[in-house]
Amino acid sequence: MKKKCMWLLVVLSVVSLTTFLVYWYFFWPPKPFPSNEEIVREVNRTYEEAGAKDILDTLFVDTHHVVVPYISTNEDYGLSYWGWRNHKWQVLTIDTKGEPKVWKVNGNDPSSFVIVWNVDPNDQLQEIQYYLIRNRNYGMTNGAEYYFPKVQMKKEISLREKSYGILQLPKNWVHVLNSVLIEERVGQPSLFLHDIFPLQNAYFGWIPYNESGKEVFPEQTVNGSTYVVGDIYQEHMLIMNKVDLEIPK
Amino acid sequence: MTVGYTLNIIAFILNVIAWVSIGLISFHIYKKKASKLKIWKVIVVLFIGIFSFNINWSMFDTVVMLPILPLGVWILYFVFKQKEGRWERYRLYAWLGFGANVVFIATTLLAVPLQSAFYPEREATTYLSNLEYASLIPIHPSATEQKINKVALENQLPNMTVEMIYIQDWYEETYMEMESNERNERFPYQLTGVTSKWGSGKKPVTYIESDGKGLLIKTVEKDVYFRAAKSFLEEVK
Repeated sequence: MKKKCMWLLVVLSVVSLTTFLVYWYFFWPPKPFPSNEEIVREVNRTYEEAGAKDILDTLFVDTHHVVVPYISTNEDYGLSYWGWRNHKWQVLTIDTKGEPKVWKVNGNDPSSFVIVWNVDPNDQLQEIQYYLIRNRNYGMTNGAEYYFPKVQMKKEISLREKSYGILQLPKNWVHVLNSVLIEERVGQPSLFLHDIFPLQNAYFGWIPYNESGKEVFPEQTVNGSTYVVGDIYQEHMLIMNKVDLEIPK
Repeated sequence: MTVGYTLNIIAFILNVIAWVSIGLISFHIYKKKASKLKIWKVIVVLFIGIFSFNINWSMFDTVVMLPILPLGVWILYFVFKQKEGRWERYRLYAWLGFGANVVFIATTLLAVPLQSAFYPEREATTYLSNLEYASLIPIHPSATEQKINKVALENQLPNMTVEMIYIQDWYEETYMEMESNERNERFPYQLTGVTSKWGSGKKPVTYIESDGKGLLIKTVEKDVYFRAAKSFLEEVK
């Protein structure tokens, strides 16, 4: 009898300990975000070329995802992406330049998409226009004609106060993106289409403007390198020109 | 856009009927045979028997899956033949499972007239119901500040006519008659906050024409273009 009780106790404690450990490892609320010195150390330990020197800010996307814009020793404006994973804050990706990108925080769910940027002040940009584009498309399948209207949606961001930032996709964009994902299945059905993004006809774009409202090419902000540590989905943003846009009178 | 799960009630009911009838037929045969086979074994054999290689054959706008190779029956044969007499005992149920595919074909075909009777493809009310939360999303700079006139839309919905999608004309209008960077979009608004008719199983995406009289409704199967007599958009004051 005594032996049985003992065994029961052992089993119970093993089960509860495992439960606790699993919970602790995967579901424990995030610890406070590392200090700036720790971030710098971690970024440079992960990717030496990053050469991080100063941390500009820590921008929380949500409780588990953080963007940290930084300046490097050779005055490059870069970005690091962080996530709370396996009970620690991990660098997910390092961009040595702060060209705008879309971080797909929750895979292909557009409501989790965030635009992230850290523009080099030497490029003297005053404003960025972000675009969601889906090309106009005509066609015919099985004798039925179909038509995809053109999508061209704009969101302006001022860089006057800060040259870095994050932007949750506007609600309307999320709506339209979701419907574009549904529509893509029309005409060209495929088993795997739902997993495919970049969509064939839809993309994100941006146009940089200087203080006199002229388009400029952001030489210092683009052509960086990216070091991916793991398990992160980013979407490139195309640099566009005003001539690519449709501006009806 | 319709968010969330939309149930295709006709397909659902027919599916239930199919499974129930397969069950009843099998049970009837099982009873009549008065064999000593365990019922759960018979059910497993039936299920495996259904498994087959199909070719998709489309007719009446639906895809019918025609079973060509009885894969499940073959698997059962190779497994069961190792023991004397076992295959003979189960053979009937294996083929019965394969035969069940006929029931599924029947329900697929039956769904077509039912679907068009309850959810006619050429009626706008099939795609749009419950306009209470309807609103517009401008998707192109040629959209002007408009809002939806729910009363005008609701009243005209049953009488809208299906028109041809004249992509040839639209193409010429857009590409030949306008400078590349001054183009207007024919459908510069998306309609959101609406659901398709209950049980239709449709998840349409709806665009509104710039004159406020046309609806372009896109579903997985096809695009349908509706026209109304009067505009159902109004200026935002």
